Amino acid sequence: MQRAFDYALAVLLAGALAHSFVFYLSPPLTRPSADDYAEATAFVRGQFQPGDLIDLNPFWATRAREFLGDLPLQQYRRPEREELGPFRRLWLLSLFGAQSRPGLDEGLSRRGRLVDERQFGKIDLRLYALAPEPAPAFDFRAELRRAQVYVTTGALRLNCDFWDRDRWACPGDLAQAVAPVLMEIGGEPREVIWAHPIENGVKVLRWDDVPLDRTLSVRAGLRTAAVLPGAAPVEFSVFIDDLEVARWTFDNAAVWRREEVDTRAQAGSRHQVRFEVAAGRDWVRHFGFAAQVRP
Amino acid sequence: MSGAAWAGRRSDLAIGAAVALAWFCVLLATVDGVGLVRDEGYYFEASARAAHYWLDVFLPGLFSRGASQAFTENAINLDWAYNAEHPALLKTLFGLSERLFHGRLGWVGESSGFRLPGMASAALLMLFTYLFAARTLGRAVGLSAVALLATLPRLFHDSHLACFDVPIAAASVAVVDAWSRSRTDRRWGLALGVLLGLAVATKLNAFFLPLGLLAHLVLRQAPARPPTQGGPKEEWWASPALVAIASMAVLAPLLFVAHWPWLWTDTAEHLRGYLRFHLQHEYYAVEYFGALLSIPPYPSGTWAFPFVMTAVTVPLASLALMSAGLVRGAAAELSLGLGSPWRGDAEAGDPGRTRLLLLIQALLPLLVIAMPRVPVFGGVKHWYTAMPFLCILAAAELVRLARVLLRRPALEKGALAGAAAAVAASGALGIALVHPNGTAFYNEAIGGLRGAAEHGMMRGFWGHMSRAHLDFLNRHVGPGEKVFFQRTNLASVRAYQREGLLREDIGYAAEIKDADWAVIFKQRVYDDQEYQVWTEWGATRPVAGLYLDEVPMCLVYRRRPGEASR
Repeated sequence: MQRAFDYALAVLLAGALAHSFVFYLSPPLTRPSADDYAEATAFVRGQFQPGDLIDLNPFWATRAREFLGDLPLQQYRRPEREELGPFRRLWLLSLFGAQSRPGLDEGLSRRGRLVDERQFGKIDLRLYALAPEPAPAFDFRAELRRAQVYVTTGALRLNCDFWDRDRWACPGDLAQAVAPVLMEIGGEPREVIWAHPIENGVKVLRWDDVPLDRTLSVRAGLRTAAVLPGAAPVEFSVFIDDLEVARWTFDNAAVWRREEVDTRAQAGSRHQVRFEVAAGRDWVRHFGFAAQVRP
Repeated sequence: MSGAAWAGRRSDLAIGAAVALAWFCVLLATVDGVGLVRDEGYYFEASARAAHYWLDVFLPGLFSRGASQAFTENAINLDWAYNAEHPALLKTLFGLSERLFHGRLGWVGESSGFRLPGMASAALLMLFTYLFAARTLGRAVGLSAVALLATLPRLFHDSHLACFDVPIAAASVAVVDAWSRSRTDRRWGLALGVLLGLAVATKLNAFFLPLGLLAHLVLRQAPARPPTQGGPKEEWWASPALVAIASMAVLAPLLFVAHWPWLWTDTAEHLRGYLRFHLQHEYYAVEYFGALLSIPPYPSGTWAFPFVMTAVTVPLASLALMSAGLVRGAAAELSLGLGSPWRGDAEAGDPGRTRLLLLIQALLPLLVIAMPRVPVFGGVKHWYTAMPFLCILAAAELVRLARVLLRRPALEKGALAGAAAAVAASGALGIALVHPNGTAFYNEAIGGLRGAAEHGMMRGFWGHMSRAHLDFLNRHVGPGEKVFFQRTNLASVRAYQREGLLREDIGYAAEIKDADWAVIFKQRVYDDQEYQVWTEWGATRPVAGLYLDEVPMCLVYRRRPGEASR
């Protein structure tokens, strides 16, 4: 028994050592050179068109941001699962063979077609032509200035009616401002309206005269760092003309929930759309949502 | 002691001292690029105050008529109320070292002046580990153990710092060695109390040491030799263990209180405050397999955090040997404890039960961190006290393997040296990949830094990686412009400026909105600050970056020209 253990350990050790030396000596062979970066990013910049998106793959290998960061650029964990509707083309800049991840090419091919593929040394560059979607008819984040924001606690209503450059400030506590921010939700930075719930009250964001169309797309979630056991759930409701059309409860999970509310019946007319956020306790409830009216 | 034994001990001391000295030189030669970690900013200040107290208040007071002035609450509070969450021993050494080697002799820069005792304690860690292992398990085990220990990349990084984690590891080995010796020599039992006192004066981890020693005392009463050999069982109350325990119980607390002026006044309240700080320690968010562990209760399975983190931060070959040492040692000790030792178990006849002692000391620090509600921040440094014992177990496996497999003494030494060198070399390659940013190290098991990034593990933390950008900032930041240093605190920035590493006219901005430049660490819990730079400055393109194996660690952004402060 012991002899078997000894031999097994000897084999394990020899294997570990061999693996270690290969592991530490091989990375320089797989790293892109400065020239690879310069050539690949110069090519993308030269071919870049309005409506293009660049995605760095894998999501953590972001040196190319130093070259292309001024252009629309993302570093999605799973680009094939993201909403690429606003974009006409996707540049996928991959390192370390990440272009071959299971599901990636298949997923992107469902969204469009591969039209170009090039190698720049250790960098794989692919261009996908995407099936474009029509632009949203109304973006609530872009129209935040038009919103009425207030807090109700029982019969009391407090207006958050001080516009501070890009955000609505609520009385008492600036941390409770309603602001357009970039916040990590569900593993990605998301452009959302930060609507931190208020303790023992309901935070309301109301837009009047919203031109509805085919769907009301709503996305929401808790900031990753706010996903904490023991924190109160967040209740989020969507109303059209006082009729509740969606209601979600956000227990502590790092998710980016998506829902399409069918508004075909109201398409072509203007309506009041209201979002309500509440939590029993407001401690670290960094909650954000995005919504658009889509044709 | 026989002449041969004495000569052997002197030789071991010489070998250990040579290893320690060599290690100190290596650390000194590699310290320059190691950035200041957040804690050091505070410790430098606390250490300067400690040196001030001893040299400018206490000593002059001792030899003057106003001696009692040094003992007044005001005099003590002035220098010791700051950073009262850590005892005085290391802070005193850091401060005195800076005064002497930087201030008076000018041999080193300010930060290295503070850091010298930390590096010296890393050298002592090697010395103590070698001496303990060589005495109990042989010289080959001792040398192999220090080779493995020296090439643990995270420990290598932290060995350069003016912090307490490596010194407490050194102190732990000294205490455990003294405990081991005290079984047969009451003088070591007395020394044990002093050493434990010094350990407690180093860092809080030392409070757990007696638990392990007492567990060893209890468990070693189980049959220590094959029943067929017979012989009377040692009764603990008749053994020198009583001296050792009494020494720990009396001398250690006395030394702890005596060494720390903060405890000279309002002792009970200050002691309560010290313990309260650690019992109610703030939680810092840690990224762990994609989740952010901020505040307990953590997700189920997080109890394994110290074991998993060890498994992904110790070089693979060393990890294999450590694991084998733990498994084999635990199985052998279990058999031994049940009265049926393995055939050919060489350690079965060891009345000191060294292997059992090693197992306890290797596992206890990890088990403490595995307890619910214990903060898990700080990477792996909070269980460095386990590492020397894990390395000794690993080295013992390596030596045993060479002996068992080769069975020819002529080949054995060469093969063992080669194997130990190969294991150490694999660790050294890991060090070469990340130095001077060793907190970023992940091993081959998780795919290195790339694999760690892919799996959502915390990369750099502790605010030291901005060191890599100081030259860039010196060259590019305009006169009077301000930099938001994010995780690098003001004390560290000021230390860089005093040392001439950062231009003095570069301003420190506490908030992004007040800054012209931003140094952003890729630490997920603070990602929103990078997003803030993108949205509020419109600066989405870093102007400089620190990348290790293409994994971004720390980036520099510049406010877009013309973009006003908010």
